[in-house]
Amino acid sequence: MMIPVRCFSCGKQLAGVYEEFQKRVEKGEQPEKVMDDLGVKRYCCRRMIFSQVDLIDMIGKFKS
Amino acid sequence: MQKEEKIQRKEAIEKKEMTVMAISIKKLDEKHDVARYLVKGASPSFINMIRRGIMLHTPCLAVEKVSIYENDSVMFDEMLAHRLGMMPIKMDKTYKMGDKVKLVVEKEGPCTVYAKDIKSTDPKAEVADKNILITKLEKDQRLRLEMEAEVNTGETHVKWQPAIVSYKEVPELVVSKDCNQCKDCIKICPEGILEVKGKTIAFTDPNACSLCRACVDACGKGAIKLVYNKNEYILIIESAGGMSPKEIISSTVKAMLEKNKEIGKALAKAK
Ligand code: SF4
Ligand code: SF4
Ligand SMILES: [Zn+2]
Repeated sequence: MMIPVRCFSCGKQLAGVYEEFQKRVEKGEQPEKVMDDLGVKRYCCRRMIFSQVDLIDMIGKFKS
Repeated sequence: MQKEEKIQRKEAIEKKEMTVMAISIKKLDEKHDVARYLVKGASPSFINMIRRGIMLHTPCLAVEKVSIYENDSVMFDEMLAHRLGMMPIKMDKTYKMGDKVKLVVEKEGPCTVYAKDIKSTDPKAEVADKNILITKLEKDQRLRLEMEAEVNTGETHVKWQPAIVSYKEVPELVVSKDCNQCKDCIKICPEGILEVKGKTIAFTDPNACSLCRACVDACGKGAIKLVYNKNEYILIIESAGGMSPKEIISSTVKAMLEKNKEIGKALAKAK
């Protein structure tokens, strides 16, 4: 629904870098480079970011 | 086959003799709240004690109770409370074990609720990363809640773990005369830290070695070996954001001393 605050495996805080990651990737930067740059180095944390599907905007429309 | 491999591995990681020396700590670098220290004169059990001390006995601040007055967002109350609990919170040195602080948040949509929208009632404690996403609110949706953060340790719950801590040995390369400089090991090294130096192969930066041993396996001649120094370790502290790595170590040392005192007292009472 929304990026988890921390990585499921190691506990690194990720919800604070997710928006920057999205913005920079939209601008055309390479995702792996952006992750390196943001200090997301381990693959447990990297899969949290690139497997994330943001459903909250869609579900939000169906609640009154 | 398996046995053979085991013997080979054992040989390759044959350790140097351990010598007793005074402990010294040197900071190698710090980036994104991740600090790497070179610790000399420590044994594996000692460095692991520090690691466990940081993870289990170092007090830090995290949200423990959430009172939700209004939550119209699509995020369930439980999920929201969990997100808030996972959020690292900064505190200053005046905070002691068991201390509590109140935080509040009030928002009306349409908007994204960030950690920066959370107001602390004490300026000495605040959310560590202002950009943490909490939830999203659509038009006419409201969020109003109160949190109580508490100082506690990782022994109770991982949210009170101030850092992710790891350590690794500092390797040394031993290249025999059989090396013909084919550069296979240089090509395979995922960290790219090997180079030809004269007639042998050498590290450009031994501290960056991940100890994956790909170089050892790649050498068809068996000419390259990794030897670990038993007295030197790289201690990696990834702060969750609540305290700086240095503060974490000093606070851990203090907490461990307290624990030792407790043991001393209990021992005195024991018959
Ligand atoms: S792979 Fe072996 S032989 Fe080739 S350069 Fe490396 S150590 Fe030397
Ligand atoms: S152990 Fe791995 S990282 Fe270290 S030098 Fe060999 S290949 Fe490179
Ligand atoms: Zn992780």
